[in-house]
Amino acid sequence: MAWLISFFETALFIALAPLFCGWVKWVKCLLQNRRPPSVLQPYRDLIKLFRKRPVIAAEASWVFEAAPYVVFVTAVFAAGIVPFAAHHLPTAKVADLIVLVGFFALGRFFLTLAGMDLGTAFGGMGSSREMMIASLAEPAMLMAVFTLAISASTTNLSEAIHWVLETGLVLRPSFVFALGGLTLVAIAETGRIPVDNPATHLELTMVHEAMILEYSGKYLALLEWGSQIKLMLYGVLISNIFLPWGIAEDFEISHLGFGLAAIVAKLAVLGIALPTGETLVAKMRVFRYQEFLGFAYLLSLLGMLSHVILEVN
Amino acid sequence: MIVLCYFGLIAALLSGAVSLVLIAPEWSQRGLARLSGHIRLQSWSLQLTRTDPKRFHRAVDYGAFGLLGLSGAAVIASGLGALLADNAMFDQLPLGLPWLRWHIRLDALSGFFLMVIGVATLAVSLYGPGYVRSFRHGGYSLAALGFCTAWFIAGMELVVISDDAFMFMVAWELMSVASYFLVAFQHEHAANRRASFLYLLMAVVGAIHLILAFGVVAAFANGFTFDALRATHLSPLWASIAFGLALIGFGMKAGLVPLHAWLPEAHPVAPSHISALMSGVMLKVAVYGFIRFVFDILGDGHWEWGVCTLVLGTASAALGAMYAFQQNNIKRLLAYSSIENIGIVFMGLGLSMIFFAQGHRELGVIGLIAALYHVVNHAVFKTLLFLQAGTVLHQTHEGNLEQLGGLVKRLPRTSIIVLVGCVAISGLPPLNGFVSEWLTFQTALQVSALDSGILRSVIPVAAALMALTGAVTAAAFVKVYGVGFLGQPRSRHAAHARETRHLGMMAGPAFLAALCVLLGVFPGVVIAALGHVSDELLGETLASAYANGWLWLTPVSQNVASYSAPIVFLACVAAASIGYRLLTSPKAVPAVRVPRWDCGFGGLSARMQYTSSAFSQPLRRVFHPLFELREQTVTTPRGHLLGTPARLDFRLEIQDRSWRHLYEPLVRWIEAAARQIGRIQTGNIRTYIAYSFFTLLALLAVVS
Amino acid sequence: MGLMQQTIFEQAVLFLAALVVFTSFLMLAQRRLFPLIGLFAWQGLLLAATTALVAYNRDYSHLYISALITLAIKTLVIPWMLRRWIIQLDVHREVESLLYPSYVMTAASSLVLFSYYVVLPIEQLSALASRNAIAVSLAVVLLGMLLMITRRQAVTHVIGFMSIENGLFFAVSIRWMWTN
Repeated sequence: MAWLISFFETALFIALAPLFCGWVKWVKCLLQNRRPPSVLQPYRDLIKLFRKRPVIAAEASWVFEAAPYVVFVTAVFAAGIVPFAAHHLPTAKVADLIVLVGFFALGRFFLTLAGMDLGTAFGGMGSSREMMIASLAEPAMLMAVFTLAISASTTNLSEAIHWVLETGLVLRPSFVFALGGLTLVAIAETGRIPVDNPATHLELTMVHEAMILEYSGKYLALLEWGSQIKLMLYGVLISNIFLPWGIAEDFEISHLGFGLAAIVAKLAVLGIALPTGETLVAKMRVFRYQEFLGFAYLLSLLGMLSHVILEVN
Repeated sequence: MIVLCYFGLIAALLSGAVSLVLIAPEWSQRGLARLSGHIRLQSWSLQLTRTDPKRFHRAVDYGAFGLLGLSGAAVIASGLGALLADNAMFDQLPLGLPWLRWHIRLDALSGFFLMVIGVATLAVSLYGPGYVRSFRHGGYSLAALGFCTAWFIAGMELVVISDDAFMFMVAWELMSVASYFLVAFQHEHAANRRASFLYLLMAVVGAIHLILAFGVVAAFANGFTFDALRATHLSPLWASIAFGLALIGFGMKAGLVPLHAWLPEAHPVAPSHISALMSGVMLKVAVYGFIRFVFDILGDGHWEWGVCTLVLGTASAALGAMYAFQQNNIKRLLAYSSIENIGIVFMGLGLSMIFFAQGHRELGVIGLIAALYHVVNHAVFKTLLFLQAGTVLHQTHEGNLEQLGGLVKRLPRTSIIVLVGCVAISGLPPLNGFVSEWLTFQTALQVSALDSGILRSVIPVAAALMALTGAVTAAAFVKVYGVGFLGQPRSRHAAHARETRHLGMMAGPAFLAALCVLLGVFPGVVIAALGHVSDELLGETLASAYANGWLWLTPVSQNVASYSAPIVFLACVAAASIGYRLLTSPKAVPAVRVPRWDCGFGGLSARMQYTSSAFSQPLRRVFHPLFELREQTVTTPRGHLLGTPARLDFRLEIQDRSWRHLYEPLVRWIEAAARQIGRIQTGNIRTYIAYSFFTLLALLAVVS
Repeated sequence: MGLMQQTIFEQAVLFLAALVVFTSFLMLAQRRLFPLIGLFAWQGLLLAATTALVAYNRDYSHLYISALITLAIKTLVIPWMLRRWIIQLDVHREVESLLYPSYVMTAASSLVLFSYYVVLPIEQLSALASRNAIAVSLAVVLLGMLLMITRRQAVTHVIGFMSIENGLFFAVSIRWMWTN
């Protein structure tokens, strides 16, 4: 039963990811005084891409064709681990937060390889920059995760959420810092402004788009969907770890429904905050990323220090 | 078990003896034919005289490597037996000093390391015959190569089974000297001679530290056997001195920063299967020595030692990865990556020492097991990658990434095996590298058990640096694979490379790749086996890790952290097969193949790809204080003022910071000291006589 | 005694303490003068908020006065005067070049740890929370000094000096929280 619910939850997660992305785009358009497309537009795009005949470069090797599947599958795995509307699910036991980071790394490994596969300058540039961002973001992310894991003395997401719920509302400076650090990392990892611009195809500024420039058809659809899932994953991660209230603690239908409503509400709020931030700031130069991510690391480090100094005996 | 181990040793030594035949192949062929005639094996004799020298040569190669493989298999079997046995086994050999025979001990720790040696030896013996063939045309002495390889392996096997300081040092030196000759094998290049001399020098300096370390302990013990050393109790000061000496001695061999200078020089110049052995196994023998000395002989440690080990390990891991990412030569990159992995091993050991000294035995065990797990993982994937680097060298005659590219189409099978190695070494699930790094992270996360707030905040920082290391390593291996195997060939050699026809050259690495998967998917089994080692050293096993069945890995308890490698792997396989179905489903619209996008200008050439040094440029710029960079751009202008330059040259040199800040001052200091001491050598015979005269007087005065 | 056993007010004070250290870090990282002054004003505001919180919680009316004065001088008057100076001296466009900002940040985080380490053995501060808060104020003092060491401009020195004073003031005002 529990396994069934968790599979259902994962499927729901995957199905809702384009909606979240559409919501973010919709809000952003409104904020920038443009006429927004329908919230359902990402679904239409995906369907269109899946139906299209893919075009592949003649020089491509099997890595190029395999990479979209790997990226998509790692995103789905990660979605299966993260508690969405309910926690205490069996899938959460399969892998913990560090494995989650590992899955992201696996997807990125193949995506960057795919960028290098054709031997075009754009792909190489995107891969190289993606690897720089990853190298700088990973310590900050791990530090934020550690702050959480050491406070809750677990790396299991379900258990951590349980711990936060159990201790009730406590003003933890460490969590606030960790939240800040994780948010910055999430912005960098999902390729949002100010680190990367998901809407650009301007040669010198793109990172993620540069790697997938040669993809089309179902391959592109898988990659797009994967990155939509990733964006929503970070949203769910942040809202469920730091504000888990509302999540269903058992599998009663009413609780599950309430949990679903709660997470949708939290995501809707995040989906307003993210485009607002993106509208307010400008994209950075590539070599300012280190300051941005260094700041994320500093926040996470301060989280750790204030945990050690202020919070424990 | 011990008999099996001896059998392995003898097989290794015999393999060396067989190789000696190649000193004079024609002569020995005739000699062997005559010999077999004498002992009434007429058919052999006839066959020997009839075979042409080339085939005889090949037969000797196969014989030598076959014996090595036999040795590897025997050693694996005896190591497995010793690892799973309840008691250690002892023996004495009638060798060594008159009052100190060679003591042999085969316990769980040595059994584990014997297995590591055996696995790598087995893979190398499969790989070797095909690989060394290329040296025959170069005028190299294959006899020397085979002989030294055999002694090198035998030396390593002897180190891990020795049970007294004397035999340990003899075996240690055997290993060092044999590997020196192997590094110097292609001695016609000055750079190789320099590298091998540096290696010899640092090996000697390391050995001196080890002798002193053993000496400090032995001074308080009655005897040189490890039992006697173990029984002594040192004062904290002397114990710390011994620990410091051992850390330097073993750290020099293992390649800890800043004692690593020899490693990136020596590993690339040795023949590839030797690099694989050196990187995959010899560094592990140094780790073995460290564990044996610190955990076993010195016994109860101090937490400060753990902090020292942790700091050195973290520095090695982070710097090793950074430097690895910046290298363009595959083998040099792999050598730096070895430094990084050894750093991770030492981080695990340091954490274990800290926890253990603070009285958290069960947490200390996780650290030790994480370190040992990483030892075997690194042995497997680094051996694999060095062997495959050898294949690339063998097939393309290029070790420089800037000249490679597109090998995934030229060497399809090799490239799949390399991909497995790259994923494993980058610490990505579901392969083996991830499991040991995950365990190390879990150890670091248990800091809340410690009382000291300083340790509680320093250890997470070390762990965050390990995360940086992981990400940079992944970047380095994306570079290896992306630049070397994907893209378009950057040179004629790369464009015309062909898959090797030698089955063994594929089988050895394939065997290791399979191990990468197995070790990653069944961590419970491995940890259960490693529990014997920790039980012997620390008196604890990690039963909690597989308490919830073989599916689950739960180092502390299921509530704290759990990882189910088999489920993850199954899910991966299921996803891959579904994906494959979709990819090749008959209903799917077939893809159109068109030329890649060239921005409408046309004529994309291989030179327009991102190069290896371009790929690593962003991180080079971000972390530039870590490197000694020399960048130079030369523009050759065209005749007229406007327009693009006729030619642009870019030169980049990256040097280790440790050279300028540690080694060069040291060299200057030693030279100055030598000059001072040199003053007493006047070259005048009368002065020397006067020295002897005064020495004699002084001695007489003392005696009287 | 962990954070969870404390009242919400004590938690809030500790939270503000963490934010004060955070502003010190931001000041170390900030290279432009106007934002630096802004950060200094924020620190003053946090200080005033802490004092007011302590005053409310422990019912010390004299602390309200202190909070008001802090608010007036540190968040309004001094930043305003500094701004005027900068405009008069025409240095507001100057950007100070930081050599190796990451080293400075590493040094700063080590200083925080160090101050914690120094305060640990002080027995008299029996209430753990107050000891930790003292560690935080010591850290603010040390970070202020670091700011003065690493910068060349006079205005920055003034700000660094006043941030040291902020640290001392913070220590005094939160002592009231845990004394009877």
